Amino acid sequence: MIKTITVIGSGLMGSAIAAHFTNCGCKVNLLDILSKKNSNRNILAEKSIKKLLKIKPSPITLKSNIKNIIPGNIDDDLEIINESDWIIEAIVENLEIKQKLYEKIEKIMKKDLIISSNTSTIPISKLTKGRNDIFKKNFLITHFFNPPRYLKLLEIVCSEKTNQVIKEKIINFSDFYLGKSIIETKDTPGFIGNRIGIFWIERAAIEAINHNLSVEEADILIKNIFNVPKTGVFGLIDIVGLDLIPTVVKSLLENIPKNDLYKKLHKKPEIFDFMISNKFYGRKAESGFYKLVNKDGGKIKYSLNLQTKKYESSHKALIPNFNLIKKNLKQFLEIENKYSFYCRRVLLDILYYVLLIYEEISSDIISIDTAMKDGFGWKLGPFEIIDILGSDWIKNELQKEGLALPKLLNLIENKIFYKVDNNEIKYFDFIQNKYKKIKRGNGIILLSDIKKVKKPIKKISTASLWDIDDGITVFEIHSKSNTLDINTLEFLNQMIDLVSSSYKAMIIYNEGEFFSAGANLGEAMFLGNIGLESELDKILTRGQEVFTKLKYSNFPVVAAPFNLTLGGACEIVLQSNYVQAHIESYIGLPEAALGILPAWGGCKEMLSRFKNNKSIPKGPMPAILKAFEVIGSAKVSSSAHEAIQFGFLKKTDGITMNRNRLLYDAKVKALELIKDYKQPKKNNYNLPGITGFSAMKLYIDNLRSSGQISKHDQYVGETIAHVLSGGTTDINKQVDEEYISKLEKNAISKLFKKNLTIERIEHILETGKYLRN
Amino acid sequence: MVQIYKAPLKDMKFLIRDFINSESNKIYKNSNIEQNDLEMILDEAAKLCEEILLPINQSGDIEGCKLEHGIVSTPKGFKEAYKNFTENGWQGVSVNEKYGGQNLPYFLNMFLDEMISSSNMSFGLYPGLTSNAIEAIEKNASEDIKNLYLPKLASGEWSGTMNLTEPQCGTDLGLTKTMATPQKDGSYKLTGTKIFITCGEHDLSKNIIHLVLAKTPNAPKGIKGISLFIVPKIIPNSDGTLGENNSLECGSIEKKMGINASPTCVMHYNEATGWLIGDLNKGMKAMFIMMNGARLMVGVQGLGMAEIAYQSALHYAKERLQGRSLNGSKSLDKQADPILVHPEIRKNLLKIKTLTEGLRGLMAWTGLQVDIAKIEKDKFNKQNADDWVSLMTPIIKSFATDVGCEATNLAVQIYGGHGYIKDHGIEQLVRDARIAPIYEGTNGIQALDLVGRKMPMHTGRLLKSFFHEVKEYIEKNSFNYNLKDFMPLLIKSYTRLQQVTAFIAAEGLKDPDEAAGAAVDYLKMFALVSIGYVWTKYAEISFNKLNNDPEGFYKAKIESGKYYMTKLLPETGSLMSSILSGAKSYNKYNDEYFDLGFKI
Repeated sequence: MIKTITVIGSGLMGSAIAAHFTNCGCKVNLLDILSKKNSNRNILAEKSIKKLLKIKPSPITLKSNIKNIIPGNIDDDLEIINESDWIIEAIVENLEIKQKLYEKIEKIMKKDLIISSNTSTIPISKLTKGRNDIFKKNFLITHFFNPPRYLKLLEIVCSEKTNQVIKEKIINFSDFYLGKSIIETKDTPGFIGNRIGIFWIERAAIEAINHNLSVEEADILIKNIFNVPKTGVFGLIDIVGLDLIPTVVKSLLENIPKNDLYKKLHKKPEIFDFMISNKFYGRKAESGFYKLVNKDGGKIKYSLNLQTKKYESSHKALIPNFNLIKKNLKQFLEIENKYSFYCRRVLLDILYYVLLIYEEISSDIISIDTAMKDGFGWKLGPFEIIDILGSDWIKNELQKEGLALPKLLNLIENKIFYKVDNNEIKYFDFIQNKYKKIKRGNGIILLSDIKKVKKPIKKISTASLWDIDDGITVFEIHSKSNTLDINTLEFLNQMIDLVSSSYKAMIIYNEGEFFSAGANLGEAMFLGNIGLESELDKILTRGQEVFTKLKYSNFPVVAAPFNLTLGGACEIVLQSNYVQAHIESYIGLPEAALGILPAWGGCKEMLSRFKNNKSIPKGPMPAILKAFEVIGSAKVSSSAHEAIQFGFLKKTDGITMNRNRLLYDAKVKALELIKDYKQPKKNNYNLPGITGFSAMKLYIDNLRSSGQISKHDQYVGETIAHVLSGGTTDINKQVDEEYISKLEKNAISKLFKKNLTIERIEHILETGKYLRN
Repeated sequence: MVQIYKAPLKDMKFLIRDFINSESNKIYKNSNIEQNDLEMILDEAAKLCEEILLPINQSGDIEGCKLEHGIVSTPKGFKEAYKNFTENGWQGVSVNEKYGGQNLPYFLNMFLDEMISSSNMSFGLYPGLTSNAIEAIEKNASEDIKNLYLPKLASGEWSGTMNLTEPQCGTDLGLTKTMATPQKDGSYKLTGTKIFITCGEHDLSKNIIHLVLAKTPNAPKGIKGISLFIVPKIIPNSDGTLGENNSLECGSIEKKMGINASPTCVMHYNEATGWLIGDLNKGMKAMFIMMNGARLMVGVQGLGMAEIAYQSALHYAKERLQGRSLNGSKSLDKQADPILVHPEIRKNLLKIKTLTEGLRGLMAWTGLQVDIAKIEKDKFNKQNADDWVSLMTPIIKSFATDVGCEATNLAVQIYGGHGYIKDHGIEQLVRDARIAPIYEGTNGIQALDLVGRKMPMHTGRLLKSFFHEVKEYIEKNSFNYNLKDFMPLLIKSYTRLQQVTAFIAAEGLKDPDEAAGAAVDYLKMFALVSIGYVWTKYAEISFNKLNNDPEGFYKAKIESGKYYMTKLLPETGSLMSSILSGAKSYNKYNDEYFDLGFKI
């Protein structure tokens, strides 16, 4: 078991890797070079650790994790490596310096110390040159992608000497505890990710200049052609840091084969030199291809004009026939304008390059697709893109340019790389020239795989119910932003009955971008606006009824949230019988920020959670105050760990580090729960009523008079306080869950009528941002 | 016999005194006028329209405009009428006092425009276009331009035009080709051809100020690269005196179906000097501000045409003796009964009457909201007034102009052969009214504006201004015994509209063609319910006035309302059925099938 590790090199990558190890409970020694100028000999590592707290998005799942990183320096503390289970070298990308460090390590290391390098381009053969056999046996390359907490890819490179047991140990640990998606690559320059990724970035940038596109135009095209969330190419360079690219490029060019296509196509855009000499490195330098300038209290976005090299205010790109990209990519590429020419050029170059070098860099196509998806954020890998375009398209285009057809294109049957055959998903294995079943490995179930070979038990336009064997079902939401509207609630209601009679358990899970943004506020707003309050009322009532039914059904319900899990979705989590959460779960009740309150059982559940929480003092008020703090300040967790602190998850709920394992873990839990399952008992509450309300009101009034909250915040706060204190009850009366549900419903109906609330909801629906009014 | 028209002053005063009075006081206070003043202004306007404009309506149509050597001459009497109009300050009625206007309420302006449209729609276009130009300049131009142009426009000494359409672009202004090249002195040189320019050239005013949409050389493609320019026929000196002629001319005027006394011009700009109005590339935004007002006023034209059609047809129906009443003769002293005795004639007359009176109230209320939005301090009240106006604009424009067409056609029908021949001037009404559903955005476009823009805007917030107002009214009055013949019908149609709105919103999210397919029916339904609400309010008011009703005005209102609620409002039912059945029957109809009946 790996419990303590040492990271050498506390730069951007080293410290972020160290941080991510603390997320799974490891202790980390972080060593950098000795500071000779400063009396504090560990100053470099210490500074890096402090910086971790400022990085956004945060590299750590809880602030307190930082305590588990112990700073040191190589001169004084190198011995500490022998107290570690694994050391990761993440120092400067310079072969000589790395070799010198390894020499030092070799001299003092214990025999079973695992050593890996985070090099991104240097082959393992060069790294271990001159080392003894023990070192070589224990050495491998573990190449993380930045930021390591969020980018799933881990490339592992072993030499012939690397001990297979060690390799398996690292792979297993990285998979289960670091949540990595691991590919084993050959010992070639840049491995798989950077070999293709750097080529892609450079091609996309150069061709954007050649085709006279603005950075916005290039970004929106690249974003939609390769489905890279958010950034596009120039946005990505801004995140990576333009200054880092030339080193990687240089190292790649020095090491790739002589006749490699990249050598032929490589060009250093003049604008890169211009930007580097002006320190326009990207986000870290606060200017890159984009920059934000503070003006009149807001931020204005500027972008660099690639032709004039001057910043201009940024405009949203307008691409003619833009919708075609998603509807019919091939047709889009046939249009005769610079946008389509650009996309065709970049796509063709990348796909052609992959078809030339696949054998050199990988032993299967899956690793290549995985590398681009999990390391560069593509939604589809290169072979998956070819499947969509059709290999005939590539053949045709290559022929037009007079290029020889890569042999792989002629080998594949039916012109596709992946296919479903006999209810099995298969890929084309180019070594044996045949289609082979994709093996997901133990402990991985993907709904996307199931969807390829099965039909849902029941389906509506916004949700489906799936049979995942052994009596377990998955309730999948697939509406826009996975929001919950009245039809979805009614469907869930019917599915509860169905599972109750014909299956054993229900897992609420999906594989969208995020779990769910909560209730469909747009629907509610619209119905309110056209005066159909009765329909609005129905949404509220049905939500409460269905979620209560979910909680007290005769079978276990396991929620498996990941990423955003807000409002109504959080209330599903709160009312499930068990939760198996991905570590990257951003769970919360942001209702108060929208001028409303949780009314599908959120208040009710938070009250009973804190009442039963042993770390909260006894007595009526502490639990209520805690619930008030969480709901009133619209808290959203930044990780599953934080969700436990906020009370959205129980300590007994499960956390899965690897996204691909989430459904399997949830299913294991469901199978465990169905053995003599008993539904939970209903909660009763003794709430303080008006006296408790007064205490909270005092607190709210203070916030208001000190100017920390607005008048409407105050009103919303008091409404929440009214519900949490139990309305007009008193401490001697016992009230039930229905009583609180009613309070929730009345309160939200009242808030929904307020103009300032409506304004907030309108604003978030239109801009995605919260309005403070 | 000629066209018959007396301004409906009693009805307008009813609206001022009884219908909008609950909220109009705020407006009076703000602009230092009293209700009495408004009524006097209406009386004066009525005289102008009945005595000056109506007599030259038919003759103007017959004579038309003429173009000779680039100069357009207007029909006989128009110059004198325009002189009378401007000298009495009618052009500047709702213009800001700062620029020499009278800053009178917008709703009043709507009454005036209605009278002008009834009495002479062609004439109304000259000052109407000037008003549009004034609004566009006031809301977008720099102070220098405002100070130079607005006083002259407000006095009517100069007139204005709007230049949008080009041969290759009508509804889709993104295709604009007219080019504006920047000059060193900050001005622009404009080159291009604009068509369908109402009153682009004429002999009524001393100068004509063209507002022209054009593109600058490096502007973004499409609608986002369009800017608005002011291009005077004669370039004024900085003191407002006239300088040299600009290089633009009227190339030809269109021969057209109606509004023959107003010239529809082809305008050539050949390096004409102009100045930017508002921000570069934001021409459409500037246009839209103006377009809302212009669209409401086209709706008013529809109403005006319906009113004169009603009065003419009523006059004829009372005078024309043909046949006998089926229930025994009514006028035994005469050879035959007047055709008014026939049920179909009565039904048609009441159809026009109740639609015009209902629309007039809806427009007055909407005009009042324009005024309220201008002065209201409370953010949400102001927003609500603005929302109401934005929502109602396509509904009023489209429905009122359709009513204008239907009413004038019904008038011809009542006149029979005498309507079809030219002598009575009734066929002219049909021809004049026919343009209104087309210009300022066709009625089809209005319906798309309602369903595609106004409905989803701010998640339905615009709808709220209507639905919540009616809902509150229903809640307040559902047990009002007086309204027992009104409320159930209003509630039924209102509920239908709610259902259909929710249906279209949901369907539209799945397939925009479904929403677009239902748009025209939906707009009509919305208009019918809105007018149903107006009639219910009329009835509520009238019941309280019955004890002092010597002429039976209020009694008549109640009876008219009953006709509307039982005969016209129920059409919401068939419209609902049609909408709920979806748009597939035409959206998915095979293109090939259209011509199978005659293709060889």
